[in-house]
Amino acid sequence: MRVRWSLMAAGLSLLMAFATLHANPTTFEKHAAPTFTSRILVKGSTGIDVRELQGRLQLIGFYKGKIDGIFGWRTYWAVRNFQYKFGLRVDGKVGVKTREKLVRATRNYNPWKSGGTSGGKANPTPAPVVHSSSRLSANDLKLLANAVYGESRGEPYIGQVAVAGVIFNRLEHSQFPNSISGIIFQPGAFTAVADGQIWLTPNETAKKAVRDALNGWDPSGGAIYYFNPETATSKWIWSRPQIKKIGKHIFCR
Amino acid sequence: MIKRILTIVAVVALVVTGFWGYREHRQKQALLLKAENQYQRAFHDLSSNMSLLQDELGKALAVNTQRQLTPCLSNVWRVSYTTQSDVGQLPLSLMPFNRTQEFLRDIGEFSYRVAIRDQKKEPLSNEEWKTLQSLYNESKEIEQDLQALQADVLDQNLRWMDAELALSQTRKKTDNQIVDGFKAMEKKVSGFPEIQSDTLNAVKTRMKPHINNVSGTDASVEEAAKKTAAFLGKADTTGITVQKNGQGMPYPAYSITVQEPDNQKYYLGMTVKGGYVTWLVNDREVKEAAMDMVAGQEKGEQWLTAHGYKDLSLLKAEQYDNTGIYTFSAKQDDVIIYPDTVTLKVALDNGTVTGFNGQDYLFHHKKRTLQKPELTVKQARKYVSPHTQIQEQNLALIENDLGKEVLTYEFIGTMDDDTYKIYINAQNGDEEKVEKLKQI
Repeated sequence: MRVRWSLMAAGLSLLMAFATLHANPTTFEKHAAPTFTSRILVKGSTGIDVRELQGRLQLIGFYKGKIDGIFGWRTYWAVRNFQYKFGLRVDGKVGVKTREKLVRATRNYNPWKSGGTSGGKANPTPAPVVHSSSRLSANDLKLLANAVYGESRGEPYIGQVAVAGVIFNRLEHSQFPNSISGIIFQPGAFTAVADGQIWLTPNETAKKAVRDALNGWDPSGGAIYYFNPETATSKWIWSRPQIKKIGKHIFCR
Repeated sequence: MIKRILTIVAVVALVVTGFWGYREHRQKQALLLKAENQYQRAFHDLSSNMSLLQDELGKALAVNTQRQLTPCLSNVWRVSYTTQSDVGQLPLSLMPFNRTQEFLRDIGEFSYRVAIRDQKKEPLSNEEWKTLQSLYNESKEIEQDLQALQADVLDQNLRWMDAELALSQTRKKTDNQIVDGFKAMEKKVSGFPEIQSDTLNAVKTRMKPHINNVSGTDASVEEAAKKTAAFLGKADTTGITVQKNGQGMPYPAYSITVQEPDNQKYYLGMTVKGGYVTWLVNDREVKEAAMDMVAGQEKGEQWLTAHGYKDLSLLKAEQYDNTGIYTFSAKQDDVIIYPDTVTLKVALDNGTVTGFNGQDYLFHHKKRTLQKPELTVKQARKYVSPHTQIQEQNLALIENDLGKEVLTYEFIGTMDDDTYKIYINAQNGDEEKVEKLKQI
């Protein structure tokens, strides 16, 4: 066993030495890596070049996560480790130097093979991503997008952000359930839930609105209720102190 | 002959329709019953949890040792959480029931705060014991009301579906025992005095925007329009509509809409006091990205400098489609000031700022006198779990659960495949906060 390891290590170092000596990175890039663009990749970047970065890091054992095209924490630590081991400045950013070193170190990289579906897929746009410490899950955000779409799809964008904002405000508020699902499915809370419109497939605008609200934008001004004055059935809702009207909705506390 | 056939067809059709109708009716009844049973379950759960809550509060009053108090209060917290969830499953959002809900949450928050603190360092004070006692008495009243209502529901076969119907028809005056019972309860709770607790008050005020930290004189509508034009770099105030927000807003503020000639629209929020822009959204289509996240960050930083934000450092960056979202935080003497954050959205097609959120910065930022940390990094590091591999460390000022600003060492570490942020109090080594960084 030990013999095999040392053999492998020797082989690897030979390979690396060979690679650093002989490989011409520019021609190599042209040949196999049409996606490794010249942009600088940092934590938070997404795209097909991040997939390649992950694929290359995976090939030499620095990265063990999923190849998803999202520069998250795991990719970040992998890059830093790589930079440390290869004597580069450890900053977690993939600029010209790191990229060159990485390309040289991974001559065998084949974008069509590594990471299963990574290279060849025609769909380069990765899933939206938030690196957050919040207690929400990706499915909470999906549910939110459904609710926002069902409740306010005819409204201006800012009104949709405000509707998402109201749900987030309820999460912090003492009078409402403590989870996104609890708030959305509270009986009688949302008409879209009652009439099933929440199960329509949300569009990009609704998803964007949810994301903006998640990032802290709250055009509702801290509202915890809103209603459409034309269709509101509850008299009590009119007694709430109002904040503003956006589109057809009046937002209030 | 034809007549006969027609008659037979008609009779068959009638029978079929009748059968179909009966089946539909039965299915509808079954569904209604299912919905009714869900409500019934939540209601009976609520009642039994309420008496459990009351029992646990009673026990907390009775116990004498700290060792017993902590589990008792943790139980109160847990049960109050469940009662809130029970309430959330009943169709009560159509009627005023907020005081009762708040009361339940307050019981939970109060007992949680007392339960988690170090009882040896800070035992239950006399006032807190009195607070517990009044909570006990008040929850007893609620419990009794609930049980009386529960008895009525069981004896008279009252249905929650009827209650829901009565609640949704507000134009007609309808009588419903269940609704009346809950309304009476809400009225009673509204009469209870507020829970007196410093910790609870601290938790509550933490949530409120600190408008008192904002300086300046009130801006009029015209001034608000001028300030908006200046903020956006416009020559004059054409296309700017300013509207004052209503009473419900936590602090006086304007809502501003800007209609640009090229059909673009900006939306802004502005405080009346001082006339500061709190947030901005420009909802435009962003084209193919022409710059990377680093170039976007530079554009964002230029924008911040131009708008008078100094000494900020990047906390995190995210790319979403062709937009970069950057969160900056103030930095003072190499300490990251977490309460003072600014979030920017930069369109990566031409580098313009399409979103700005400076509310937290506005309400928190001030020149602080930072204390010197008592502990060195090495000493602080010893307080971090040995299972965590520490990768990065900084000094950071954070706001703890009670809204107090504390100087901490921030350790970013990994354990297996997950990344954590751990905050160790720089003065006494307390673990102030631990966050798991998720990718969602």
